[in-house]
Amino acid sequence: MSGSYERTALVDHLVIDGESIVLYEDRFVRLGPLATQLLTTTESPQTIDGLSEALTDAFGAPGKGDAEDVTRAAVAALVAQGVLREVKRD
Amino acid sequence: MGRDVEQLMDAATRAWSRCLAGPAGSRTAQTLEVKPPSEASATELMLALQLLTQEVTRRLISAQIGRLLMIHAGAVSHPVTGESLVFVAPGGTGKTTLACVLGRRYGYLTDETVGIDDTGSIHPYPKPLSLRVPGAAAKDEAPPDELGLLPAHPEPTVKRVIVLHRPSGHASGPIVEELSTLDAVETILPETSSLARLPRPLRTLAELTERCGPVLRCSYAEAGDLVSLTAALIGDAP
Repeated sequence: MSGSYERTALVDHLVIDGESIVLYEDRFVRLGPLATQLLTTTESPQTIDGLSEALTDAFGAPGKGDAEDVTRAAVAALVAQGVLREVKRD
Repeated sequence: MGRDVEQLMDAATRAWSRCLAGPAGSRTAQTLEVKPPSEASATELMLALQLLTQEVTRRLISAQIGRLLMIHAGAVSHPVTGESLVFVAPGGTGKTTLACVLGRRYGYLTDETVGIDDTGSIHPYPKPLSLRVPGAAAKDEAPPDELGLLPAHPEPTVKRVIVLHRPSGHASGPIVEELSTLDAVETILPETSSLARLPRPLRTLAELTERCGPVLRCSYAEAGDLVSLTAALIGDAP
């Protein structure tokens, strides 16, 4: 997981009080604050470094563990859900 | 016209009495082919009517894609004000039974699909009610008139939305819980049809839940238990 990440094509995204629901053609996903921040930050491809910085700016440093590790785990979960995708380098 | 066709036409006309269109509507209506019962038995006729209801509902939903917010729900309207209660529920959670109970006090709008436009007006779909018959292979497509259900208000609007939950073993009275806007949207989403085809789909659903909110999740055992809740939400029936 060293490339960049962007959000997959979505139909609509509803954000209320930092949490959200994202609607796709055939399904929807409820996202907590961290995942919502990641989705709104990845309209264009972002590196783990960039995403980690965005999360730290929004929520502060994580209470436990390294910010990049936390970001990497959150991104991996969203990739598994089809919310984000890795952008391959040429 | 054969006797079997005549019998089907008569039964369908009676079952769909609340939805019959005049000559102008007939000119623009879609054609729907229904196979008459292969034998003159009550079960065959019930099955043909059940298939007709399913096909009409399917066509209706298809025709309104991208136009109306469509929710798998029943609804009744206050006969004087038109303010309506929409009760959202997956199949088998008691929409039809509740429509039968509430429809004797409030105007029957539908027991299947509620179509709502962007002003909050409901487009009634007073179809026959598909009632389970113990031991029968098909449901009975019961005409709302014969069940004593009141006619819909001419301009029904959404006043409140409740999400029905009927847990097995629930023995007490209704338990009501307010949902936040996001929780309400998440709960209602699986019961919508072709929501993604509406402009601003999630915002449209969120606006409905906020305008008519808070949306309530209601755990209950018997439809009769919800009469007083309905009165509290859309007003006493006259």
